[in-house]
Amino acid sequence: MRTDRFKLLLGATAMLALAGCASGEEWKTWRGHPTHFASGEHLFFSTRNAEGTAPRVTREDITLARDQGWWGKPITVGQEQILER
Amino acid sequence: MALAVQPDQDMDTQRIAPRMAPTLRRGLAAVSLVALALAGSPATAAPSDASVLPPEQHTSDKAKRLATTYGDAMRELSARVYHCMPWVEVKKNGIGFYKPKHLEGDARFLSINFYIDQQPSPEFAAFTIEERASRMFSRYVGPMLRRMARPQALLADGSLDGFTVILEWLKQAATAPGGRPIHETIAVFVDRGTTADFVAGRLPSRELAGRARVLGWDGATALGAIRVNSWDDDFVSTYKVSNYQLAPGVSCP
Repeated sequence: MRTDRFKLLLGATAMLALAGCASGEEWKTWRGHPTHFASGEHLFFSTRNAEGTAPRVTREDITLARDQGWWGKPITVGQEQILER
Repeated sequence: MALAVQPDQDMDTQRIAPRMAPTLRRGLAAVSLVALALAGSPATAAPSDASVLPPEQHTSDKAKRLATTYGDAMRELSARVYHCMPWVEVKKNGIGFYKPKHLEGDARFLSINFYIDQQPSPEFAAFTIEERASRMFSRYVGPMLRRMARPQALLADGSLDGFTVILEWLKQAATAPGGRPIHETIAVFVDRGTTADFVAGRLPSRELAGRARVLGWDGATALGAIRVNSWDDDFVSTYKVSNYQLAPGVSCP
């Protein structure tokens, strides 16, 4: 009886694991689009703003977008060349 | 790994339930904390303190005293810019009572240094550096001086020598993979008397640039003093980021 329950539990666990994993095709898509939902914040922004509704943009969204859209260290002047502490 | 609840014929749910309750409560509390952390708490809506140079990091007694006395005003300025001008980003330690390097002695200017997040356009790029600087000066320097000089005690403080507004924007995006974008920068220095005249309405916007010292940089290359013109520009007070939602409890005049 105990063995049967254990087998049942193992089977259910395996099914849950399979349901939670991406298929090979899904992984291929994911690898082809590495920046999609690149961060948890992007995921939350996307789920908060459903398609067809006016998006709500917070200050944190803007900061994150700016940080994550980094295109490289700019060539610019350092503040220490203009001001002294 | 042990299962949380092992099935057993002799399971006594009356006895198990009280033991499970604290576990469930702890679990729910943990889930709630994680959800709050991911959703962002009101505290994260505040700008980072890193934008204000702490008093002890100023290098003269005069500057430390100014930074201590007007610490609240600096943090208020930082918060205002953060929430009400979300398209700009104040740099780390960008607000402080700094000494302009080109001046002698311990001249202390309340300074702000920020990056303006705007995409370069062909029209804007076609202007000369003086023309681009004039547009940026007119758009930002007047409104920033009004915000920075808002505390009457600060404007009347004899140990304050003036105000600095440093504006930086993207001149040219990286043109090749692995390349680096190039920014342009102007640093505007206005003495305290001129600022007082300007905020009181005694000095019109068109005369402000003529009373200011403006230094320019193309990337990291110093251009020296540049001549700019100025005029009234209400961009800062009228521009709205599309669908931008102010944080709770924040209002922008």
